[in-house]
Amino acid sequence: MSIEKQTIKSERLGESYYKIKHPSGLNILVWEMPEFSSVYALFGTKYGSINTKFKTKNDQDFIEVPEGIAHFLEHKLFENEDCDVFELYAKTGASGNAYTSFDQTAYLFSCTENYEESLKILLDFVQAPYFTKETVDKEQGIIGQEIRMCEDTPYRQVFFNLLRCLYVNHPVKIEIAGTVESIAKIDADLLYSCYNTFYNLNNMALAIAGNVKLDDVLAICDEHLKVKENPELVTAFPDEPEEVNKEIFVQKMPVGTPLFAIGYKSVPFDGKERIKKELEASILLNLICGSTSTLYKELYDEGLINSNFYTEVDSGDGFFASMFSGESKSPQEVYNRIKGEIERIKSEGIDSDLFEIIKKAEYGKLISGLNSAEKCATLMFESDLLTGVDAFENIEALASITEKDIMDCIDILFDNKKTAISIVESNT
Amino acid sequence: MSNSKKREQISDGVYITTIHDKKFNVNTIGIRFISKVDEKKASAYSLVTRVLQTSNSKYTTRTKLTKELARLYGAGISQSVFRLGDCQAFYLGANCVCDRYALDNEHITNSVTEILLDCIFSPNLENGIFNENDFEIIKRELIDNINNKINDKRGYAIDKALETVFHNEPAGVPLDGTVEVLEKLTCADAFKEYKEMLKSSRIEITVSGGGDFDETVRLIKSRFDGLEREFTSSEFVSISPVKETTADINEKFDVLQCKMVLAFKTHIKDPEQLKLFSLMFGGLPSSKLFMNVREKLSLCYYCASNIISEKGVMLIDSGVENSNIKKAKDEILKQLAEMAKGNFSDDELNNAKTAVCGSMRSYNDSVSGLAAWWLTQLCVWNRDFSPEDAIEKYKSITREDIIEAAKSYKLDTVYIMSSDDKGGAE
Repeated sequence: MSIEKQTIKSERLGESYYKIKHPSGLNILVWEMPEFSSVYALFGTKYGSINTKFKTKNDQDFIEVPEGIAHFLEHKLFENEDCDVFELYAKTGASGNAYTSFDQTAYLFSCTENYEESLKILLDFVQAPYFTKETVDKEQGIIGQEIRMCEDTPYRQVFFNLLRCLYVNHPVKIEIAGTVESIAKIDADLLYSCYNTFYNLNNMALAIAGNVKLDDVLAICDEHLKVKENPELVTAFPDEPEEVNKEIFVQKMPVGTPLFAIGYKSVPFDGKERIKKELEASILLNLICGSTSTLYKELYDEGLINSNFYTEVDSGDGFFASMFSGESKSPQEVYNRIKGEIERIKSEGIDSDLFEIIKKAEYGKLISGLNSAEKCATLMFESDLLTGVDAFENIEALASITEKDIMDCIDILFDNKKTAISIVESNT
Repeated sequence: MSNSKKREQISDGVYITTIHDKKFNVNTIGIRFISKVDEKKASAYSLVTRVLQTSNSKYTTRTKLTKELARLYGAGISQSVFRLGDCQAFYLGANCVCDRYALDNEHITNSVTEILLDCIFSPNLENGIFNENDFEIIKRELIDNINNKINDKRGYAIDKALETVFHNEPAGVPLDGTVEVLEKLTCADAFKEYKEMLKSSRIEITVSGGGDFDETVRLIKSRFDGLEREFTSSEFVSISPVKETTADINEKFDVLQCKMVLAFKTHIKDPEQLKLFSLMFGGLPSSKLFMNVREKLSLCYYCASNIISEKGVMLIDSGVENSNIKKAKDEILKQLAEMAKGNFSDDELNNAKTAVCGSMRSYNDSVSGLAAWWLTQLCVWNRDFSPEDAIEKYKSITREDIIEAAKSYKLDTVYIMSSDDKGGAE
């Protein structure tokens, strides 16, 4: 088979990897790290909890499926017709796992020997679904317990409650595993329907990093990838207003100090622009209330936050939110002070020295993010699958960000009219 | 293996281990104060290391220190506490990217090391003790953190189980101490304990990563040179006695899912034999517990075994429905009995060996993994034992060794957290 091979290089870091457009439609990403013993591989699809409405060229209308089905499918794919995938990995010594997020499902393994055999197992089982009524029923119990565990976890509740405040219609507000009620509606036919739609090599990526050789990986891919017709998938999301759903939500459950999550909703971005906006949002979160900021010091000294305070950016198809989270006896006061600081920065501008320091810290964070086969493989995989850009784009985007860029986007990313707070406090 | 390891004693009970491998792009400098502690010392040392982490005489506030570390390409200084057998280790460490990534030729690693050493040896003082205001803020935060442990139900359940498992033993002293002791601890008391911690703890320093460490090691040695020491060594490995009657602890919480922790004890002191057994029993997705309690009976999302080999303890923890507690517990005991009867295949044994040997090899790919490995081997087990040596040892373990391990475990403690104060029984 003829292949299209590209070397993706970062002069800045002195690192490189290969990107191959395989004739089967699959993007294959290979990072050779001969000095490492480990190998880490991810094979997955651009299909996550938010993809509940879709159609292919064979469908007239959009199909809507129960919440939590992408995650359910991930669990079920580990069961082959004749055996459990973990039994196969047990023989090669690989450690296998999988995860489902808002917009992707990834199957992975790590190992230090026999990676070729483990790669064959990975490619084979992900391409060989096997669902029956019995195996689906059995999984309801296991996933039911996973859902219960999440419902008892206040950190997770405070996060999803915030998403439900920020988003009116977008499915990012639903729990990744769904609910005990929604997964009860899942059956083998629905699983096959979702599988056949999203598990098409044109909608997937394979990333492998560590002690591997490009030619060996490609030879295995040539032999094990099954070419299927491209179903020309179209996903759809409900219209999402720019405004938030509600500004506050309080849940009561057994916790110590109340937990809070404060979010700012923005219009979504795609491709390179998404990478850049994620970095700009991250820099702004740090300028507003990162551990080097004046506001952080004030809140900390006043006992309004503690060192468990953190910031994050969550973005994907149709959503983009910047968040401040932590523990506080007065979450509302923290919220008001953050809103005030945003207005202050908008009128007075940013601290140039702090901007440069934060950029340096972000640069260091990106370098530390290339410190293992796992991190390198994950970066290649997610960059390609989710944004369609190369893995080093983030470091180039970071270098290009100016103070002006930051001031230009603060109104879009941190609008005090498009914000919400979620609080989890003790029920006793 | 491309890494090199060097170890030397630099003072009474002070050791420095350097692990270098140029493939790494980060460096970690870790300093552990290791001591057999009671509740008072555990509380004080935990608080002291938190105070030291946040400032020093040069960077007198948390913000100034954090800003300087951010300028050094997002370096960090972290603090933690963990158990090593009957001792606790109070950790202060620094991490940074290697100097080769500096945009303006800064000496990142040595600058970060100096900051860490200043935090330890030259704290921000006021009237000869820690800054009172900072101390009170950090003390309040530690108390909150202890009260917030309930936020992580799985971790909380294990902590509570261990208090009973190690009742009246040094290993039973809670990490971070207790709220009662902390409430009474003054800034002057804490400063006295800080001096004591420097003087009497065993100190284990690791410098690991991809950098060139000659200068870093010299810097560290120079600061430990004049340190007054009065050190008596502690035993790390001491087998915990099994209770005559199994302890049953039930705690009532408003939870949707029960947490169950079963603690078993053994007299066997061989860490590899215990580890391999634990992997076969409940440490792998192909293990007895995963395949039966989760996959076959569909009772839980997790049911895993972990060992504390220095104490001869194995913990099984699981999250299950109230009504399934007894069923899950019975199945775990049944699977242990099956292992003791030798009802496992050679494939199961060989697969566990393959898995553990793979994880041993992967230590060489992790800066923090290598540092942790050598700390455990050199300090706790007092042996110069590489991951490669461990591989040889694992390969030699027989079926009889596994049966012996299974037979040796006796149920010591059952901890259940549920919304029903009878522990969800029946």
